[in-house]
Amino acid sequence: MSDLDGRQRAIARVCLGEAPPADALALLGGDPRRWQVYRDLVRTRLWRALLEALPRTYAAAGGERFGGWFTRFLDEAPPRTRFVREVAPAFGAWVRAAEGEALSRPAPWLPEALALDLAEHHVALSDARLDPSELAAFSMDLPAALDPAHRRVRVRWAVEGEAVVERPRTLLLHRHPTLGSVETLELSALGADLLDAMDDGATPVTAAIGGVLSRRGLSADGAFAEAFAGLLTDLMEREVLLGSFAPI
Amino acid sequence: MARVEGVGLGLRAPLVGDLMTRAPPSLRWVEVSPENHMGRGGFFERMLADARGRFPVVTHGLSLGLGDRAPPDPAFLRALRAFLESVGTPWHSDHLCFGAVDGAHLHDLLPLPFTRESVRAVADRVRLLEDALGLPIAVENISWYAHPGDAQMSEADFLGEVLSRSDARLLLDVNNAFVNARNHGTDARDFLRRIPADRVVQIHVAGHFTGADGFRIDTHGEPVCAEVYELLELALSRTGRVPVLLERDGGFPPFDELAAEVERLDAILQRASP
Repeated sequence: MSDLDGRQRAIARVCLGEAPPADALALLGGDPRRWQVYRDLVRTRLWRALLEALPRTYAAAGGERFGGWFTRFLDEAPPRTRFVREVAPAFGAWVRAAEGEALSRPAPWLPEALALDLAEHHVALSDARLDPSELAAFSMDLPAALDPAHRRVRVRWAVEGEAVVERPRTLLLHRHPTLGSVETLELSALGADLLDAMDDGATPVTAAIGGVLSRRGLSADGAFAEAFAGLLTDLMEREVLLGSFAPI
Repeated sequence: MARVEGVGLGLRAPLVGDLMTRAPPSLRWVEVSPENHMGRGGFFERMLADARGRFPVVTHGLSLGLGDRAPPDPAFLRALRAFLESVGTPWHSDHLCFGAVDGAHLHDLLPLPFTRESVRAVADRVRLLEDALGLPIAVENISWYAHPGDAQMSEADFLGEVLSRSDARLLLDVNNAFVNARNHGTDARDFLRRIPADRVVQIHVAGHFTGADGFRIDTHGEPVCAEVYELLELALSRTGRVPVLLERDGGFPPFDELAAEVERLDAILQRASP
């Protein structure tokens, strides 16, 4: 190991370790308070990135538990990405792996708080898009083309005032067409099933609807047709439904 | 490729509305960090498109790791090159520091020792990066708060050696020169007199935080202090009229205050020799 390698590794250990190691500080020399400056800068930047991306997770876990994860994450599995925006997803994956089933104890809503935070983070930043040459005007006889940046998240819990109550539903998160902000649409159970069936990029909409209605023992009556048309219109205005995939 | 001259401002989300609607006349270009935009849709994509429609863009990187030990990631370099070409930057700058160790990215500007080994490592990497990116690389002097181990030369000599052994240009950060001088008891004017002025393609100016103990941290979150304006005049007297960037990354004041700083910088710049 070269001298330069050794000094860089010492700085990394001072910044990322659970505590600054004495041998690393000795190798670096100088005033340990100045190395603490680097430790604070590194950790503060990453901490802020996580708090910004994962507010629900922080609230559900509490500061002590979240802080413990942060300390272990930096010590055991520090970010492997050069993009700050990718640190939160990496942290989220590490938390899930490290906690396993314990993540839902004592607050059973913690896993979905994390899922919802990460979905919102993805929707805000994603550059996923469809190739315009693959798109056609919307047709019930073609597969629906949905914006790949949107996310649908099934959640069981809802915050109502100061309380967390059980209220299963599906949330559709998408970007506002002009503002770029993340918007949330609450879907009915039937609407969520329809979108799931329509979002495989292959099944014509008519067939996707038929499958869902058949499973639910429903018929495509006038009331359904009116509600479904309303859903499609809403999704088009939100630019979640971009049209259909053109026939190959 | 648009000509870049005069005073620029860093493109930041909280500033973009004012930048697009009431930028001061002397604001001539914007600086963009590719890492904040590459592979990112939504608001940031639109912000960059709007800025490119109005201003020339110069790029300033955060993660090339000029002092990193691991070879650069070829996939990242390809994507970065495509980004740089898309915005038409005349050069790409990054910091004279390291940021990643054994695959872990620390997301800060970490100090290199002022040693011959560091000089060789950085110079080799700069040459490699210039080939990969197809553009001149400008190296920025950083604020450093501690020196790792023993130094074999001064910061000015270190910088000069890196530039002489590579083909790099210099992005001279006047605030960093000031912060370092105050923190380490050296003379910023002496530093500015010793850097190779003919290699300077751009200057950075910013504010910094001063702690209760007088120690200064380069935050880009405060107004530019009087001493840094004075140092800018000295630097420009040596470099001639090169593009000057006001960096502001936090503690955003009312836009009129930033506009006044831009105007003040422009007045100083216009007094410099062409």
